[in-house]
Amino acid sequence: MAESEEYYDYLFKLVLIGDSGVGKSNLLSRFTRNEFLYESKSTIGVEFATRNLKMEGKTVKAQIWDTAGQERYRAITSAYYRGAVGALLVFDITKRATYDNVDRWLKELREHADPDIAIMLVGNKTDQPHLRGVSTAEAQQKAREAKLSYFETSALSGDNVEASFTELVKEIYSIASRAQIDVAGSSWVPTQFRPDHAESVPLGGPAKPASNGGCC
Amino acid sequence: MVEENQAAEAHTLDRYGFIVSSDEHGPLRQPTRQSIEKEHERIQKWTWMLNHWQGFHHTRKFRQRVRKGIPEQFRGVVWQKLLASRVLYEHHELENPFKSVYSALLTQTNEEAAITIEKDITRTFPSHAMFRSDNTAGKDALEHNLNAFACYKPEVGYCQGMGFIDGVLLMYMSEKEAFWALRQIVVDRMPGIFNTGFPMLQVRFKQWNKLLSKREPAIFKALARHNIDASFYTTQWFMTLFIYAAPFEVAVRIFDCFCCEGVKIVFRVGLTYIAALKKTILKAPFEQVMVAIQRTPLTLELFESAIDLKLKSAEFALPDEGRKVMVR
Ligand SMILES: Nc1nc2c(ncn2[C@@H]2O[C@H](COP(=O)(O)OP(=O)(O)O)[C@@H](O)[C@H]2O)c(=O)[nH]1
Ligand SMILES: [Mg+2]
Repeated sequence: MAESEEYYDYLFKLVLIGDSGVGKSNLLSRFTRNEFLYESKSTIGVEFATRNLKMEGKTVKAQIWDTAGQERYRAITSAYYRGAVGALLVFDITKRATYDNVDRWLKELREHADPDIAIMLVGNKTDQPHLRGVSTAEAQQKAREAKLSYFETSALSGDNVEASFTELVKEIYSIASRAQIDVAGSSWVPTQFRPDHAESVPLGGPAKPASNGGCC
Repeated sequence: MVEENQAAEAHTLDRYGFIVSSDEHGPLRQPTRQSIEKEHERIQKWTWMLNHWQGFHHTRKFRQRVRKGIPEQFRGVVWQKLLASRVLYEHHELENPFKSVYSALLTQTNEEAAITIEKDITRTFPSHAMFRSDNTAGKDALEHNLNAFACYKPEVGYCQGMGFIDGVLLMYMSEKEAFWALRQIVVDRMPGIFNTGFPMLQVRFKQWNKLLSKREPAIFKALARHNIDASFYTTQWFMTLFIYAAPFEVAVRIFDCFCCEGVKIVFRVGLTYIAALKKTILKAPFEQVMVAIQRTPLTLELFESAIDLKLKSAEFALPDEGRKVMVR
Protein backbone atom coordinates (compact mmCIF):
# COMPACT_ATOMS: atom_id res chain seq x y z
CA MET A 1 0.00 0.00 0.00
CA ALA A 2 2.63 2.49 0.94
CA GLU A 3 4.66 1.92 -2.22
CA SER A 4 5.99 5.40 -2.68
CA GLU A 5 5.67 5.68 -6.41
CA GLU A 6 7.74 8.45 -7.82
CA TYR A 7 4.91 10.10 -9.69
CA TYR A 8 2.29 12.30 -8.13
CA ASP A 9 0.07 15.18 -9.20
CA TYR A 10 -0.23 16.86 -5.83
CA LEU A 11 1.94 16.95 -2.77
CA PHE A 12 0.27 17.83 0.52
CA LYS A 13 2.21 18.38 3.69
CA LEU A 14 0.14 17.42 6.72
CA VAL A 15 1.18 17.85 10.33
CA LEU A 16 0.20 15.79 13.35
CA ILE A 17 -0.25 17.81 16.50
CA GLY A 18 -1.65 17.22 19.96
CA ASP A 19 -0.41 16.40 23.45
CA SER A 20 2.24 13.83 24.16
CA GLY A 21 0.96 10.26 24.33
CA VAL A 22 -2.29 10.72 22.41
CA GLY A 23 -1.09 8.38 19.66
CA LYS A 24 0.22 10.66 16.90
CA SER A 25 3.18 8.48 16.02
CA ASN A 26 1.08 5.35 15.95
CA LEU A 27 -1.58 6.97 13.78
CA LEU A 28 1.20 7.83 11.37
CA SER A 29 2.62 4.31 11.29
CA ARG A 30 -0.87 2.83 11.02
CA PHE A 31 -1.76 5.03 8.06
CA THR A 32 1.53 4.82 6.16
CA ARG A 33 2.69 1.28 6.97
CA ASN A 34 -0.39 -0.33 8.50
CA GLU A 35 1.58 -0.98 11.67
CA PHE A 36 0.95 -0.43 15.35
CA LEU A 37 4.10 -0.56 17.43
CA TYR A 38 3.63 -1.72 21.00
CA GLU A 39 7.21 -0.78 21.65
CA SER A 40 7.78 2.67 20.27
CA LYS A 41 9.84 5.54 21.62
CA SER A 42 8.58 8.99 22.49
CA THR A 43 9.23 11.25 19.52
CA ILE A 44 12.15 13.66 19.85
CA GLY A 45 12.81 15.89 16.85
CA VAL A 46 10.86 15.42 13.66
CA GLU A 47 9.69 12.33 11.81
CA PHE A 48 7.76 11.99 8.64
CA ALA A 49 6.30 9.37 6.36
CA THR A 50 4.39 9.47 3.10
CA ARG A 51 1.60 7.67 1.37
CA ASN A 52 0.05 8.12 -2.06
CA LEU A 53 -3.71 8.33 -2.47
CA LYS A 54 -5.91 8.42 -5.55
CA MET A 55 -8.42 11.26 -5.90
CA GLU A 56 -10.52 11.50 -9.05
CA GLY A 57 -7.84 9.74 -11.04
CA LYS A 58 -5.10 12.00 -9.72
CA THR A 59 -2.30 10.88 -7.44
CA VAL A 60 -1.98 12.80 -4.23
CA LYS A 61 1.09 12.28 -2.12
CA ALA A 62 0.43 12.88 1.56
CA GLN A 63 3.63 13.82 3.35
CA ILE A 64 2.82 13.55 7.03
CA TRP A 65 4.98 15.10 9.73
CA ASP A 66 5.14 14.12 13.36
CA THR A 67 6.94 15.67 16.31
CA ALA A 68 7.15 15.76 20.11
CA GLY A 69 3.95 16.79 21.85
CA GLN A 70 5.23 18.27 25.09
CA GLU A 71 4.31 21.90 25.52
CA ARG A 72 7.85 23.23 25.71
CA TYR A 73 8.75 21.72 22.34
CA ARG A 74 6.58 24.35 20.71
CA ALA A 75 9.54 26.68 21.10
CA ILE A 76 11.24 24.98 18.15
CA THR A 77 8.38 23.92 15.93
CA SER A 78 7.74 26.97 13.79
CA ALA A 79 9.72 25.46 10.90
CA TYR A 80 7.64 22.33 11.32
CA TYR A 81 4.47 24.11 10.23
CA ARG A 82 6.05 25.74 7.19
CA GLY A 83 4.12 24.82 4.06
CA ALA A 84 1.62 22.57 5.82
CA VAL A 85 -1.80 22.53 4.15
CA GLY A 86 -3.48 20.22 6.64
CA ALA A 87 -3.32 19.37 10.33
CA LEU A 88 -4.63 16.46 12.34
CA LEU A 89 -5.18 17.73 15.85
CA VAL A 90 -5.23 14.58 17.94
CA PHE A 91 -6.45 14.06 21.50
CA ASP A 92 -6.92 10.91 23.55
CA ILE A 93 -10.59 10.14 24.30
CA THR A 94 -9.51 8.44 27.52
CA LYS A 95 -7.56 11.46 28.81
CA ARG A 96 -9.69 14.50 29.42
CA ALA A 97 -6.67 16.80 29.80
CA THR A 98 -5.59 16.15 26.22
CA TYR A 99 -9.01 17.27 25.05
CA ASP A 100 -8.94 20.37 27.22
CA ASN A 101 -5.73 21.33 25.46
CA VAL A 102 -7.30 21.35 22.00
CA ASP A 103 -7.92 25.08 22.17
CA ARG A 104 -4.27 25.72 22.90
CA TRP A 105 -3.29 23.69 19.88
CA LEU A 106 -5.73 25.65 17.73
CA LYS A 107 -4.12 28.83 18.97
CA GLU A 108 -0.72 27.38 18.13
CA LEU A 109 -1.91 26.72 14.57
CA ARG A 110 -3.27 30.22 14.23
CA GLU A 111 0.10 31.60 15.28
CA HIS A 112 2.39 29.40 13.24
CA ALA A 113 0.53 27.79 10.37
CA ASP A 114 -0.95 29.11 7.15
CA PRO A 115 -4.32 30.76 7.87
CA ASP A 116 -5.97 28.51 5.25
CA ILE A 117 -4.70 25.26 6.74
CA ALA A 118 -7.38 22.54 6.83
CA ILE A 119 -7.76 21.16 10.33
CA MET A 120 -9.31 17.92 11.47
CA LEU A 121 -9.99 17.07 15.09
CA VAL A 122 -9.23 13.44 15.89
CA GLY A 123 -10.23 11.58 19.06
CA ASN A 124 -7.96 8.54 19.28
CA LYS A 125 -8.02 5.26 21.27
CA THR A 126 -11.65 4.26 20.68
CA ASP A 127 -10.59 0.68 21.41
CA GLN A 128 -10.81 1.67 25.09
CA PRO A 129 -14.48 2.66 25.38
CA HIS A 130 -14.57 1.72 29.08
CA LEU A 131 -11.99 4.45 29.80
CA ARG A 132 -13.65 7.14 27.76
CA GLY A 133 -13.47 10.59 29.33
CA VAL A 134 -14.76 12.66 26.42
CA SER A 135 -18.07 11.92 24.75
CA THR A 136 -18.44 11.87 21.00
CA ALA A 137 -21.23 14.45 21.13
CA GLU A 138 -19.13 16.83 23.14
CA ALA A 139 -16.17 16.64 20.79
CA GLN A 140 -18.45 16.97 17.78
CA GLN A 141 -19.87 20.11 19.30
CA LYS A 142 -16.44 21.63 19.79
CA ALA A 143 -15.48 20.72 16.23
CA ARG A 144 -18.63 22.32 14.86
CA GLU A 145 -17.98 25.52 16.75
CA ALA A 146 -14.44 25.71 15.44
CA LYS A 147 -15.59 24.66 11.95
CA LEU A 148 -13.48 21.52 11.93
CA SER A 149 -14.41 18.03 10.93
CA TYR A 150 -14.25 15.39 13.65
CA PHE A 151 -13.21 11.74 13.50
CA GLU A 152 -12.74 9.10 16.15
CA THR A 153 -10.01 6.56 15.54
CA SER A 154 -8.03 3.73 17.01
CA ALA A 155 -4.45 3.44 15.87
CA LEU A 156 -4.36 0.14 17.71
CA SER A 157 -7.26 -1.57 15.91
CA GLY A 158 -6.88 0.58 12.82
CA ASP A 159 -10.47 1.68 13.07
CA ASN A 160 -11.25 4.83 11.07
CA VAL A 161 -7.59 5.74 10.60
CA GLU A 162 -7.78 5.39 6.86
CA ALA A 163 -11.05 7.27 6.74
CA SER A 164 -9.82 10.24 8.75
CA PHE A 165 -6.62 10.84 6.81
CA THR A 166 -8.42 10.31 3.52
CA GLU A 167 -11.14 12.75 4.47
CA LEU A 168 -8.62 15.44 5.32
CA VAL A 169 -6.75 14.88 2.07
CA LYS A 170 -10.04 15.00 0.20
CA GLU A 171 -10.92 18.33 1.79
CA ILE A 172 -7.59 19.80 0.79
CA TYR A 173 -7.81 18.27 -2.65
CA SER A 174 -11.11 19.90 -3.35
CA ILE A 175 -9.72 23.29 -2.38
CA ALA A 176 -6.59 22.71 -4.42
CA SER A 177 -8.36 21.53 -7.54
CA ARG A 178 -10.85 24.40 -7.29
CA ALA A 179 -8.00 26.85 -7.01
CA GLN A 180 -6.64 25.39 -10.18
CA ILE A 181 -9.95 25.68 -12.02
CA ASP A 182 -10.48 29.24 -10.86
CA VAL A 183 -7.54 30.29 -12.93
CA ALA A 184 -8.40 28.07 -15.88
CA GLY A 185 -6.33 28.86 -18.88
CA SER A 186 -3.25 29.75 -17.00
CA SER A 187 -1.18 26.95 -15.62
CA TRP A 188 -1.02 28.58 -12.24
CA VAL A 189 -1.20 26.28 -9.27
CA PRO A 190 -0.89 27.64 -5.76
CA THR A 191 2.70 27.14 -4.81
CA GLN A 192 1.94 24.97 -1.87
CA PHE A 193 0.11 22.47 -4.06
CA ARG A 194 2.65 22.31 -6.82
CA PRO A 195 4.19 18.93 -7.40
CA ASP A 196 7.86 19.49 -7.66
CA HIS A 197 9.64 16.41 -8.81
CA ALA A 198 12.98 17.88 -9.64
CA GLU A 199 13.53 19.32 -6.25
CA SER A 200 10.52 18.33 -4.28
CA VAL A 201 10.50 21.35 -2.06
CA PRO A 202 8.45 20.33 0.97
CA LEU A 203 5.60 22.50 -0.24
CA GLY A 204 7.28 25.33 1.55
CA GLY A 205 5.00 28.15 0.43
CA PRO A 206 6.81 30.46 -1.94
CA ALA A 207 10.04 28.81 -0.92
CA LYS A 208 12.21 31.61 0.32
CA PRO A 209 15.14 30.75 -1.87
CA ALA A 210 17.93 32.18 0.20
CA SER A 211 16.47 31.32 3.57
CA ASN A 212 19.36 30.25 5.66
CA GLY A 213 17.65 27.01 6.58
CA GLY A 214 18.85 27.99 9.94
CA CYS A 215 17.03 28.15 13.11
CA CYS A 216 13.86 29.91 13.75
CA MET B 1 0.12 -6.26 24.91
CA VAL B 2 -0.04 -9.26 27.18
CA GLU B 3 1.09 -11.71 24.50
CA GLU B 4 3.95 -9.36 23.69
CA ASN B 5 5.18 -9.46 27.27
CA GLN B 6 5.17 -13.19 27.56
CA ALA B 7 7.28 -13.42 24.45
CA ALA B 8 9.87 -11.10 26.00
CA GLU B 9 11.53 -13.80 28.05
CA ALA B 10 12.38 -15.73 24.94
CA HIS B 11 14.35 -12.90 23.34
CA THR B 12 18.09 -13.09 22.94
CA LEU B 13 19.82 -10.07 24.45
CA ASP B 14 23.04 -8.40 23.38
CA ARG B 15 25.84 -7.58 25.83
CA TYR B 16 24.12 -4.32 26.78
CA GLY B 17 20.71 -5.82 27.46
CA PHE B 18 18.94 -4.89 24.23
CA ILE B 19 16.90 -7.41 22.37
CA VAL B 20 18.89 -8.70 19.45
CA SER B 21 17.17 -7.42 16.30
CA SER B 22 16.03 -4.16 17.91
CA ASP B 23 17.15 -0.80 16.52
CA GLU B 24 19.58 0.01 19.30
CA HIS B 25 21.32 -3.24 18.89
CA GLY B 26 24.52 -2.96 16.86
CA PRO B 27 26.22 -5.72 14.89
CA LEU B 28 27.07 -8.77 16.97
CA ARG B 29 30.80 -8.97 17.48
CA GLN B 30 32.21 -12.38 18.21
CA PRO B 31 35.12 -12.06 20.63
CA THR B 32 38.41 -13.34 19.24
CA ARG B 33 41.51 -14.35 21.18
CA GLN B 34 43.12 -11.04 20.25
CA SER B 35 40.10 -8.98 21.26
CA ILE B 36 39.95 -10.72 24.63
CA GLU B 37 43.65 -10.16 25.25
CA LYS B 38 43.31 -6.53 24.28
CA GLU B 39 40.32 -6.11 26.55
CA HIS B 40 42.27 -7.62 29.41
CA GLU B 41 45.12 -5.21 28.81
CA ARG B 42 42.71 -2.26 28.82
CA ILE B 43 41.20 -3.38 32.09
CA GLN B 44 44.65 -3.43 33.69
CA LYS B 45 45.41 0.06 32.40
CA TRP B 46 42.09 1.36 33.68
CA THR B 47 42.53 -0.27 37.06
CA TRP B 48 45.82 1.53 37.36
CA MET B 49 44.29 4.83 36.27
CA LEU B 50 41.48 4.54 38.77
CA ASN B 51 44.07 4.04 41.49
CA HIS B 52 46.03 7.05 40.29
CA TRP B 53 43.07 9.21 39.42
CA GLN B 54 44.17 12.55 40.82
CA GLY B 55 47.43 12.67 38.97
CA PHE B 56 46.20 11.19 35.77
CA HIS B 57 42.67 12.14 34.80
CA HIS B 58 43.53 15.42 33.14
CA THR B 59 46.37 14.09 31.05
CA ARG B 60 46.31 13.68 27.28
CA LYS B 61 46.91 10.00 27.68
CA PHE B 62 43.81 9.66 29.79
CA ARG B 63 41.69 11.50 27.24
CA GLN B 64 43.04 9.26 24.50
CA ARG B 65 42.06 6.19 26.47
CA VAL B 66 38.57 7.54 27.04
CA ARG B 67 38.31 8.08 23.30
CA LYS B 68 39.14 4.43 22.78
CA GLY B 69 36.24 3.55 25.05
CA ILE B 70 35.97 3.07 28.80
CA PRO B 71 35.75 -0.66 29.60
CA GLU B 72 32.18 -1.74 30.35
CA GLN B 73 33.01 -2.71 33.94
CA PHE B 74 34.29 0.77 34.77
CA ARG B 75 31.89 2.95 32.87
CA GLY B 76 29.58 3.68 35.77
CA VAL B 77 32.38 4.67 38.13
CA VAL B 78 34.38 6.66 35.59
CA TRP B 79 31.36 8.59 34.34
CA GLN B 80 30.53 9.60 37.89
CA LYS B 81 34.07 10.78 38.50
CA LEU B 82 34.24 12.71 35.24
CA LEU B 83 30.87 14.33 35.79
CA ALA B 84 31.89 15.16 39.35
CA SER B 85 28.61 13.64 40.46
CA ARG B 86 30.38 11.17 42.69
CA VAL B 87 31.24 13.90 45.20
CA LEU B 88 27.66 15.11 45.24
CA TYR B 89 26.44 11.59 45.78
CA GLU B 90 28.84 10.99 48.62
CA HIS B 91 28.02 14.29 50.23
CA HIS B 92 24.23 14.11 49.91
CA GLU B 93 23.63 10.41 50.28
CA LEU B 94 26.43 8.87 52.30
CA GLU B 95 27.62 11.42 54.83
CA ASN B 96 24.42 11.17 56.80
CA PRO B 97 22.63 7.95 55.99
CA PHE B 98 19.52 9.16 57.78
CA LYS B 99 19.28 12.29 55.68
CA SER B 100 19.35 11.20 52.07
CA VAL B 101 18.51 14.18 49.88
CA TYR B 102 17.29 11.82 47.19
CA SER B 103 14.95 9.95 49.50
CA ALA B 104 13.50 13.25 50.63
CA LEU B 105 12.88 14.25 47.02
CA LEU B 106 11.01 11.01 46.44
CA THR B 107 8.39 12.08 48.96
CA GLN B 108 7.56 15.18 46.90
CA THR B 109 5.57 15.47 43.70
CA ASN B 110 5.67 17.76 40.70
CA GLU B 111 2.21 17.06 39.35
CA GLU B 112 2.67 18.50 35.88
CA ALA B 113 5.95 16.68 35.30
CA ALA B 114 4.65 13.40 36.70
CA ILE B 115 1.90 13.18 34.08
CA THR B 116 4.34 13.48 31.17
CA ILE B 117 6.95 11.27 32.81
CA GLU B 118 4.47 8.46 33.28
CA LYS B 119 3.70 8.43 29.56
CA ASP B 120 7.37 8.22 28.66
CA ILE B 121 8.62 5.46 30.91
CA THR B 122 7.76 2.57 28.59
CA ARG B 123 8.66 4.68 25.58
CA THR B 124 12.29 5.25 26.56
CA PHE B 125 14.14 1.97 26.00
CA PRO B 126 11.31 -0.30 24.92
CA SER B 127 13.69 -2.96 23.66
CA HIS B 128 16.00 -3.06 26.67
CA ALA B 129 15.60 -5.81 29.24
CA MET B 130 15.58 -3.35 32.17
CA PHE B 131 12.92 -1.06 30.78
CA ARG B 132 10.56 -3.31 28.91
CA SER B 133 6.92 -3.34 29.90
CA ASP B 134 7.37 -6.67 31.68
CA ASN B 135 10.19 -5.51 33.91
CA THR B 136 9.46 -3.15 36.75
CA ALA B 137 12.82 -2.54 38.44
CA GLY B 138 14.41 -0.42 35.74
CA LYS B 139 11.20 1.39 34.91
CA ASP B 140 10.58 2.29 38.55
CA ALA B 141 14.11 3.63 38.96
CA LEU B 142 13.70 5.74 35.83
CA GLU B 143 10.38 7.10 36.98
CA HIS B 144 11.77 7.86 40.45
CA ASN B 145 14.84 9.61 39.07
CA LEU B 146 12.89 11.81 36.69
CA ASN B 147 10.26 12.73 39.26
CA ALA B 148 12.91 13.45 41.86
CA PHE B 149 14.71 15.70 39.41
CA ALA B 150 11.52 17.57 38.53
CA CYS B 151 11.12 18.35 42.25
CA TYR B 152 14.79 19.13 42.71
CA LYS B 153 14.82 21.69 39.87
CA PRO B 154 11.22 22.81 39.34
CA GLU B 155 12.40 25.49 36.89
CA VAL B 156 13.55 22.68 34.60
CA GLY B 157 10.95 20.12 35.62
CA TYR B 158 10.72 17.28 33.16
CA CYS B 159 11.51 17.53 29.47
CA GLN B 160 11.07 14.72 26.98
CA GLY B 161 14.53 13.50 26.11
CA MET B 162 15.94 13.45 29.64
CA GLY B 163 14.79 9.88 30.07
CA PHE B 164 17.17 8.64 27.40
CA ILE B 165 20.13 10.04 29.30
CA ASP B 166 18.91 8.82 32.64
CA GLY B 167 18.15 5.38 31.22
CA VAL B 168 21.76 4.95 30.14
CA LEU B 169 23.00 6.08 33.53
CA LEU B 170 20.73 3.54 35.23
CA MET B 171 22.22 0.75 33.14
CA TYR B 172 25.59 1.48 34.74
CA MET B 173 24.95 2.62 38.30
CA SER B 174 22.53 2.60 41.21
CA GLU B 175 19.38 4.69 41.27
CA LYS B 176 20.81 7.27 43.68
CA GLU B 177 24.09 7.56 41.82
CA ALA B 178 22.21 7.97 38.55
CA PHE B 179 20.18 10.80 40.03
CA TRP B 180 23.27 12.83 40.87
CA ALA B 181 24.88 12.07 37.53
CA LEU B 182 21.71 13.24 35.80
CA ARG B 183 21.81 16.36 37.93
CA GLN B 184 25.35 17.11 36.80
CA ILE B 185 24.52 16.62 33.14
CA VAL B 186 21.34 18.67 33.11
CA VAL B 187 22.45 21.44 35.45
CA ASP B 188 26.19 21.63 34.92
CA ARG B 189 27.11 20.14 31.55
CA MET B 190 24.13 21.06 29.42
CA PRO B 191 22.69 24.04 31.29
CA GLY B 192 19.45 25.33 29.81
CA ILE B 193 19.10 22.59 27.22
CA PHE B 194 15.85 21.27 28.69
CA ASN B 195 14.49 24.51 30.10
CA THR B 196 11.23 25.98 28.87
CA GLY B 197 11.82 28.00 25.73
CA PHE B 198 14.91 25.90 24.98
CA PRO B 199 17.32 28.82 25.25
CA MET B 200 20.40 26.63 25.03
CA LEU B 201 19.12 24.57 22.16
CA GLN B 202 18.60 27.73 20.13
CA VAL B 203 22.22 28.65 20.78
CA ARG B 204 23.36 25.21 19.67
CA PHE B 205 21.34 25.47 16.44
CA LYS B 206 23.07 28.75 15.66
CA GLN B 207 26.48 27.29 16.41
CA TRP B 208 25.70 24.23 14.35
CA ASN B 209 24.59 26.30 11.36
CA LYS B 210 27.68 28.42 11.60
CA LEU B 211 29.97 25.43 11.81
CA LEU B 212 28.23 23.62 8.98
CA SER B 213 28.28 26.63 6.68
CA LYS B 214 31.98 27.03 7.31
CA ARG B 215 33.06 23.41 7.08
CA GLU B 216 30.57 22.06 4.57
CA PRO B 217 29.17 25.05 2.68
CA ALA B 218 27.70 22.93 -0.13
CA ILE B 219 25.79 20.76 2.32
CA PHE B 220 24.66 23.80 4.23
CA LYS B 221 23.27 25.37 1.07
CA ALA B 222 21.57 22.18 -0.04
CA LEU B 223 19.84 21.76 3.31
CA ALA B 224 18.72 25.39 3.23
CA ARG B 225 17.35 24.90 -0.26
CA HIS B 226 15.33 21.95 1.00
CA ASN B 227 14.13 23.98 3.98
CA ILE B 228 15.59 21.38 6.28
CA ASP B 229 15.92 23.23 9.54
CA ALA B 230 18.64 22.33 12.03
CA SER B 231 15.91 21.77 14.60
CA PHE B 232 14.60 18.82 12.56
CA TYR B 233 17.64 16.66 13.03
CA THR B 234 20.02 18.14 15.62
CA THR B 235 17.43 18.37 18.43
CA GLN B 236 17.94 14.69 19.19
CA TRP B 237 21.70 15.06 19.04
CA PHE B 238 21.96 17.89 21.51
CA MET B 239 19.26 16.70 23.87
CA THR B 240 20.07 13.02 24.04
CA LEU B 241 23.72 12.98 22.92
CA PHE B 242 22.79 10.60 20.07
CA ILE B 243 21.41 8.07 22.55
CA TYR B 244 17.97 8.39 20.96
CA ALA B 245 18.97 7.09 17.56
CA ALA B 246 22.51 5.71 17.52
CA PRO B 247 23.24 2.02 17.96
CA PHE B 248 23.95 1.56 21.64
CA GLU B 249 27.59 0.54 21.30
CA VAL B 250 28.20 3.88 19.58
CA ALA B 251 26.01 5.84 21.97
CA VAL B 252 28.05 4.79 25.02
CA ARG B 253 31.30 5.67 23.26
CA ILE B 254 29.92 9.12 22.54
CA PHE B 255 28.81 9.36 26.14
CA ASP B 256 32.35 8.43 27.32
CA CYS B 257 33.72 11.35 25.31
CA PHE B 258 30.97 13.69 26.43
CA CYS B 259 31.75 13.07 30.10
CA CYS B 260 35.43 13.75 29.46
CA GLU B 261 35.40 16.50 26.83
CA GLY B 262 31.91 17.95 26.78
CA VAL B 263 29.62 18.99 23.97
CA LYS B 264 32.44 19.14 21.41
CA ILE B 265 31.86 15.49 20.68
CA VAL B 266 28.31 16.22 19.52
CA PHE B 267 29.58 18.68 16.92
CA ARG B 268 32.34 16.33 15.83
CA VAL B 269 30.06 13.35 15.38
CA GLY B 270 27.29 15.46 13.83
CA LEU B 271 29.60 17.02 11.29
CA THR B 272 31.20 13.70 10.35
CA TYR B 273 27.82 12.07 10.05
CA ILE B 274 26.38 14.78 7.82
CA ALA B 275 29.52 14.92 5.69
CA ALA B 276 29.26 11.19 5.05
CA LEU B 277 25.81 11.80 3.56
CA LYS B 278 27.05 14.55 1.27
CA LYS B 279 26.29 12.81 -2.00
CA THR B 280 22.67 12.20 -1.06
CA ILE B 281 22.19 15.63 0.44
CA LEU B 282 23.50 17.38 -2.67
CA LYS B 283 21.76 15.24 -5.27
CA ALA B 284 18.64 13.61 -3.88
CA PRO B 285 15.18 15.12 -3.59
CA PHE B 286 13.90 16.42 -0.27
CA GLU B 287 12.33 13.27 1.08
CA GLN B 288 15.33 11.10 0.40
CA VAL B 289 17.55 13.63 2.10
CA MET B 290 15.36 13.68 5.21
CA VAL B 291 15.21 9.91 5.36
CA ALA B 292 18.97 9.61 4.91
CA ILE B 293 19.62 12.04 7.75
CA GLN B 294 17.17 10.34 10.06
CA ARG B 295 17.70 6.70 9.23
CA THR B 296 21.34 6.17 8.30
CA PRO B 297 22.91 4.26 11.19
CA LEU B 298 25.77 5.95 12.97
CA THR B 299 28.46 3.32 12.73
CA LEU B 300 31.38 2.72 15.04
CA GLU B 301 33.73 3.43 12.15
CA LEU B 302 32.09 6.78 11.59
CA PHE B 303 32.34 7.62 15.27
CA GLU B 304 36.00 6.70 15.32
CA SER B 305 36.73 8.93 12.37
CA ALA B 306 34.92 11.79 14.13
CA ILE B 307 36.88 11.69 17.39
CA ASP B 308 39.97 13.42 16.11
CA LEU B 309 38.22 16.04 14.03
CA LYS B 310 39.81 19.38 14.84
CA LEU B 311 37.37 21.97 16.10
CA LYS B 312 38.02 25.29 17.74
CA SER B 313 36.39 25.45 21.14
CA ALA B 314 35.43 29.04 20.44
CA GLU B 315 33.03 27.78 17.78
CA PHE B 316 30.69 26.40 20.36
CA ALA B 317 31.74 27.77 23.69
CA LEU B 318 29.11 29.23 25.94
CA PRO B 319 29.80 32.51 27.60
CA ASP B 320 30.63 30.71 30.84
CA GLU B 321 32.07 27.52 29.43
CA GLY B 322 35.77 27.02 29.44
CA ARG B 323 35.91 27.38 33.15
CA LYS B 324 37.48 24.28 34.53
CA VAL B 325 35.05 21.96 36.17
CA MET B 326 36.41 20.63 39.41
CA VAL B 327 36.80 16.92 39.00
CA ARG B 328 37.56 14.71 41.89
N1 LIG C 1 -5.21 1.55 23.34
C1 LIG C 1 -4.61 2.35 22.47
N2 LIG C 1 -3.36 2.79 22.72
C2 LIG C 1 -2.77 3.59 21.81
C3 LIG C 1 -3.42 3.98 20.60
N3 LIG C 1 -2.58 4.79 19.92
C4 LIG C 1 -1.45 4.88 20.66
N4 LIG C 1 -1.56 4.17 21.80
C5 LIG C 1 -0.56 4.04 22.89
O1 LIG C 1 -0.40 5.31 23.47
C6 LIG C 1 0.96 5.56 23.76
C7 LIG C 1 1.41 6.80 23.03
O2 LIG C 1 1.39 6.58 21.64
P1 LIG C 1 2.30 7.43 20.64
O3 LIG C 1 1.90 7.08 19.26
O4 LIG C 1 3.73 7.28 21.00
O5 LIG C 1 1.79 8.92 21.03
P2 LIG C 1 2.38 10.35 20.61
O6 LIG C 1 3.18 10.84 21.76
O7 LIG C 1 1.18 11.21 20.38
O8 LIG C 1 3.18 10.16 19.37
C8 LIG C 1 1.72 4.31 23.37
O9 LIG C 1 1.91 3.54 24.49
C9 LIG C 1 0.81 3.62 22.39
O10 LIG C 1 0.96 2.24 22.44
C10 LIG C 1 -4.74 3.48 20.36
O11 LIG C 1 -5.40 3.76 19.36
N5 LIG C 1 -5.28 2.69 21.33
MG1 LIG D 1 5.17 10.60 19.04
